[in-house]
Amino acid sequence: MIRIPRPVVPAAVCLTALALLTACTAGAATTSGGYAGQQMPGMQAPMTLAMPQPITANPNDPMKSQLRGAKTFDLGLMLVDGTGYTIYRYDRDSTDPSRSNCNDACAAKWVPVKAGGPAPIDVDPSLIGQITRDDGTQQATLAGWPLYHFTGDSEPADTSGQGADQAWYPIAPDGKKITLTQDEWRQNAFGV
Amino acid sequence: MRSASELATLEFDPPSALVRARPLVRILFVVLAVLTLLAPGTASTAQTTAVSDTDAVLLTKVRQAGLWEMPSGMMAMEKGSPQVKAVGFAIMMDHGRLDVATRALSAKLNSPVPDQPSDEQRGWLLEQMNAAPGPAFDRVFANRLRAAHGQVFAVLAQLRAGTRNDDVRAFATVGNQAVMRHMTMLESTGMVDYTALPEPAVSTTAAPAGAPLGLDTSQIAVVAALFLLVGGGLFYVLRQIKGNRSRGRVRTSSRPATVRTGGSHG
Repeated sequence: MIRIPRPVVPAAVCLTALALLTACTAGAATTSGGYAGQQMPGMQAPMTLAMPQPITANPNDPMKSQLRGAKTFDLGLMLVDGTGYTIYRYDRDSTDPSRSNCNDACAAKWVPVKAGGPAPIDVDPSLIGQITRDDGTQQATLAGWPLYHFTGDSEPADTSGQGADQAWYPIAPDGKKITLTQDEWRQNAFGV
Repeated sequence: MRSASELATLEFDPPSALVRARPLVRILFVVLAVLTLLAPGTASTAQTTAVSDTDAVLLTKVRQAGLWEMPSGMMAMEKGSPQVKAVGFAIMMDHGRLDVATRALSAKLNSPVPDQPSDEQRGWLLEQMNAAPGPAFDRVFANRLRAAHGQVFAVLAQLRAGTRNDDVRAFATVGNQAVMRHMTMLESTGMVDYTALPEPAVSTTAAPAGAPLGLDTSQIAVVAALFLLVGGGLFYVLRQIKGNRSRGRVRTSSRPATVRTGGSHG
C-alpha cells in the first residue's frame, strides 16, 4: 500500500484553496471592469441637449439679467439669474449711496448684472434698483447692493465664488449675504 | 568567508537541539505560509466591498441624474404649467449644486463619472420634447422624473447606510435630502401615477440599481476559499501539536497501544 506523506494532504488543500482564491479574485476584477465600461454610453446618435450655460458662454443672454428668488435644498432662499446661476454681492461695495468698487480686472472675473432685464420672479420689486458704473454701463442692485455673476461658476446654483477674498457671497432675495455652506448645513440639519 | 565558516560551525555544533526543534519549526513555517497567503486575500476583498465599486455606482448615478434632469428642468420652464415650471427650475438648481459636489468627490476619489446621459435617459428627454406643452408635458415630466428619483433614492439610502468612506457618507446624506425634496415636489404636481412606479424602477438603465451592492457568487467563493485556507492550516498545526504530544507521552508513560494506532496511521 502506498503511504501518502503526512504534510501532502493539508498542503494540497491549501494549494487548491489558493488556486480558487486567485481565480475568483481575477473573475471579480474582470466583472467590475466590464461593468465600468458599460457606464460610458458616449457612442450614440448626437442629441443637442440644452444645458444651462455660465455667464461666459453668452454674456448678452437677456435671461442672465433676470432676477429670481429660488429655494435650494441646502442653502435656502437665494437670488439667481433667469438661468438659475448664483448672483453675488461684494462686501467692499457700498449701499448708501449704492456704489461698485469692482472695476477692470475685478469686473472681468465678477461680471456686473445688467440692469433692465426681464420681469423679476419671487423678488420684491421695491428692492431692485440700478446704478451707473464707472465705465458708464448700468448695473442692477438689490437692497442697494450692486449685483454680479461669477465666471468661476459652471452649474446652476453653483456657489464656487462663496467666500472669495472674504468679501464675495451669494445674496439672498432680502439682500443679506449667504455665508452658510453645504457642509455646515448638513451638520446643522442632522446635529443635536 | 568568515560568516560562512561561522554558519558551518553553528550548524554542526548542536545537532541534537536542532533535531528536537524540527517539529516546532515546521509548525511555525505552516503558520507563516498561511498568514502570507491570507494577507493579500483579505486586502483585496476589503477593497472591492469597502471602497471602489459601490461608491463609484453612487457617484455615477447622481451624476447621470443631473445630466438629464437639468435639461428636463429647462424644458419644464418652457413647456410646463406654472407649477411644473417652478418645480423644474428648483430641480435644475438643486441638481446643479449636487453636480458640483459630485464632480468634486469624483476628482478627490479618482473615480470617473460619465458626461453623457444614458440611452434610456435620452429616450425620456425625447418623450418630453415630443409632448405637447401643458398637461401632456406635465404628465411625462412628473412621472419620468419621479420614477428616476425613486431609483437613485434607493442607491443613496444603501450607500448612506453602508459605505466605508467618510466623504461618500457625507455626500449620500446631502444627496438623500435633495432627492427626497425632488420626489416630494414632483408629487405635489398631482400628476404622479403611483401605480405605474414599479415599471420604470426595474428598467434597464446602464447601472442596475441593486446588483453591485449585494454579495455576488464570486465574493462568496472568495470567502469560502479563505475558510478552506485557514481551516486547512489550523488542522495541520493542530495535528502537528497532537503528534508531538503523543510522541512525548510514549517515551514517558506506558499507554496502551490502541490509543496510538490512530496517530501512527496518519
